[in-house]
Amino acid sequence: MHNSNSTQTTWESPRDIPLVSPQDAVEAAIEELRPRYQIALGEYHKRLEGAFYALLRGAGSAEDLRDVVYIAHRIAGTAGNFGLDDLGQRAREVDEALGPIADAPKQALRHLGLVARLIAALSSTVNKKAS
Amino acid sequence: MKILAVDDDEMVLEILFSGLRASGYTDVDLAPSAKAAMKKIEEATTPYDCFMFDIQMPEMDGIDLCSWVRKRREYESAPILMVTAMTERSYIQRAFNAGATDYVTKPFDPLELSTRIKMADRLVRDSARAKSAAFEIQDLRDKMENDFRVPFTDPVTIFGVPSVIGRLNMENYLRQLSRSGLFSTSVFAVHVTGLEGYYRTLSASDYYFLLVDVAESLCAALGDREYFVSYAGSGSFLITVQHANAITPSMVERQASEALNKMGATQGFDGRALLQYRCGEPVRIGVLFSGGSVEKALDMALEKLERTLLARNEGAYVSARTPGLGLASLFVK
Repeated sequence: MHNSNSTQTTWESPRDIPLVSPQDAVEAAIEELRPRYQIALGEYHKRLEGAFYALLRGAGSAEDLRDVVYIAHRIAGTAGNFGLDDLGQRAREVDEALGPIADAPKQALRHLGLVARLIAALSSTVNKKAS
Repeated sequence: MKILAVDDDEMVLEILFSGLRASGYTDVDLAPSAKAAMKKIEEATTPYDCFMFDIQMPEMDGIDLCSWVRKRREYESAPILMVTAMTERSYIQRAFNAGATDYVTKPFDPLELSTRIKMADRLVRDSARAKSAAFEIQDLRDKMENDFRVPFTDPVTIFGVPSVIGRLNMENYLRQLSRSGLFSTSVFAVHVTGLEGYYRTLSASDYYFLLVDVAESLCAALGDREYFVSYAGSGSFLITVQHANAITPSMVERQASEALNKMGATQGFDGRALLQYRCGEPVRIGVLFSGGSVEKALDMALEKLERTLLARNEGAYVSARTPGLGLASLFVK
């Protein structure tokens, strides 16, 4: 227990001092962020599916492709922090394959399989949490 | 320590913020874009001590932001950590060329990141000390007035020459290549005989500008290749270069010498060059890293140089290698 007065805080016993390791503090912060991340993943899933089908039909624009790369890049940078290593890996593959050709939707067609795998991983992550 | 973290992904900023707080860094500013960061930097009443930049951001990327920060006198030596998902060599090369101190790939371990920050923190403290190992240009004007000079054996950070970086930056660059599995880079060392004589006779500022000329001559010798040059102290430079198989020591020696002679600063009355280049054999990074740390790798390059000098029975040479690791820390003709 600790005593607080208007000027300072004192601890009666060293055992009362809350011991939070940096690792625990980071993990707690990640857990706090997880619900928002889950919502963001749901949004990414919708956008990615829309862009993917447009590209698949040959109706996709450079903007659609850039959106795919943007989303993949973001997921690649953060999924690992939430323990979603497989999702992060799939996103990295898309980022690396499509990033250099982000302005050429026709060239991207041969890499759409990677995007489909990312959507599947994303779908599984989003649905797992929802169920 | 006042830190500015810049990323267009709000989630990354929050993870960074939490990791930094958990590691005891509470004075942390966040910016969602390069433009917002520039505004914060321009309006800061007390300067930042450390920067963390994402690379891929809309409008202006983190590498351009890094270049912009480096051009500001108060931040010429401030640690800049690139925190990015980009692992391709071209990004690593561009980032260090723009003045990055370190390169961290996402997803990052917030606690490993704090270790890297602590290293940067130490760098800030070191550079705050007037007699730090690195010789920094923003201190130069004061040091000139006081006739201050760093010991001949110390590394000197040369600013303002493209592809010429500090020793710590070079170590971090090699670490990042190693992490990314990019092993087509080699490292070799070049000794410039005659520099010590100039060190004794020139003023601190003139000696510094001579080092700049020598660094530029080495850059000229390396041409269009992807490389970095760093002055290691004791008259020796360390050079990393991609695909070194097309490079021979004699070629570097000849071309650097020709480039320096064109500058015309170091010829005797008889027209002979007063500085001579002695180049060690390149060592592949992949081989180096299987044997140990980056520091050891750079020492191996310097050791190869020592062997070259020993084989040629060259004059007095004070090793730039880590004490205790050298074949001979001092040998005289």
